[in-house]
Amino acid sequence: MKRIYFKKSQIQMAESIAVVIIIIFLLVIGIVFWAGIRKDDIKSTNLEYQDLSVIELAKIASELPELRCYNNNIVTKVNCFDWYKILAMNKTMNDPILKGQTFDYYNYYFKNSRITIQEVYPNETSIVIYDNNISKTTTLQISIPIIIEKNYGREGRKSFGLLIVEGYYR
Amino acid sequence: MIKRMLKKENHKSQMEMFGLTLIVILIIIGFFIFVSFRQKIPISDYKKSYVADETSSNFINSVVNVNPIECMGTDYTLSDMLKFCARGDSIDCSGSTNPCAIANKTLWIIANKTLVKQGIGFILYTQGISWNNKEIIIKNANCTGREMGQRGTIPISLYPVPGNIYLNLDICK
Repeated sequence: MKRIYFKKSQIQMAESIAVVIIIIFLLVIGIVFWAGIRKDDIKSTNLEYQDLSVIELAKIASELPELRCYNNNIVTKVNCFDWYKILAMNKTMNDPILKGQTFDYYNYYFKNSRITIQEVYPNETSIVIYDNNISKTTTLQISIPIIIEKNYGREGRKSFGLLIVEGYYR
Repeated sequence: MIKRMLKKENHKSQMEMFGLTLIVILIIIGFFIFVSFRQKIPISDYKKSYVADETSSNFINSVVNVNPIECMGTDYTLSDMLKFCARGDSIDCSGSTNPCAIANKTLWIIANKTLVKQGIGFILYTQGISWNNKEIIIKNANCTGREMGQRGTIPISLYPVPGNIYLNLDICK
């Protein structure tokens, strides 16, 4: 029978290779682990950005001069929306001739979202003033309490409502 | 004899090396676990903070301007109702002559249709009113021990009677 003899240098070589393999193994585990953590981090950052973008949309929508109440060209009440301006905007958004042009204009501000004005007291009605119609995604929603003024003469009736801003996200 | 001793010593040093490597590996694993737990710290919920801070002031500013349904033929607002309630005046509205009852009912309906429906924990209350020796207080969920958002408050003048009353809303985060 033939006996196999290993030289000392061969053993040292095998040791070195084993050390390198172990280091590479540890590095790979480390990288995988780190990538997992970064993935979670990116996800949470993405969520934060979505929150911020819905807040931004809500701010823009609540300051729309097209819908706000004016008294002699002065904004006298905070968060007051004129009911007839809301109706006019809804009509324009659904008008077959003006629809495309109007949608393009507001799409620049509202992007992938839906803006609804909902009267909650004393009546319950709801009017969508902008909708990008994206159904496959999740939505983030913010509701801002508003006054809805219905002017029938010098003094208007004031109802309580909500400006609902929904952002569509993937 | 010397050879055997050297062999034993060599074996001991190998064990030491092995122990040292084990410690290093354990430290590395511990570091990864620590980093992963650090990453699990909840992200700042901007939406929740925004709702708690902004909704309260928007709600209060809007609700005081609402015309109660009981006083349809008049220009009375909820602010007027609270003012009359604090002054002890009676009013001529359909269904009720008690401004405190109308204010309480209106606030309750609006809060119920908005804040309660959205599942928001809140305390809506007046300061300076004595309706059956009590203030108007409407609340949803227990806010005890929870962080509160910025308080929404509005002073209502009792003119010509001196002084103010306040309508406040605290939303818990």
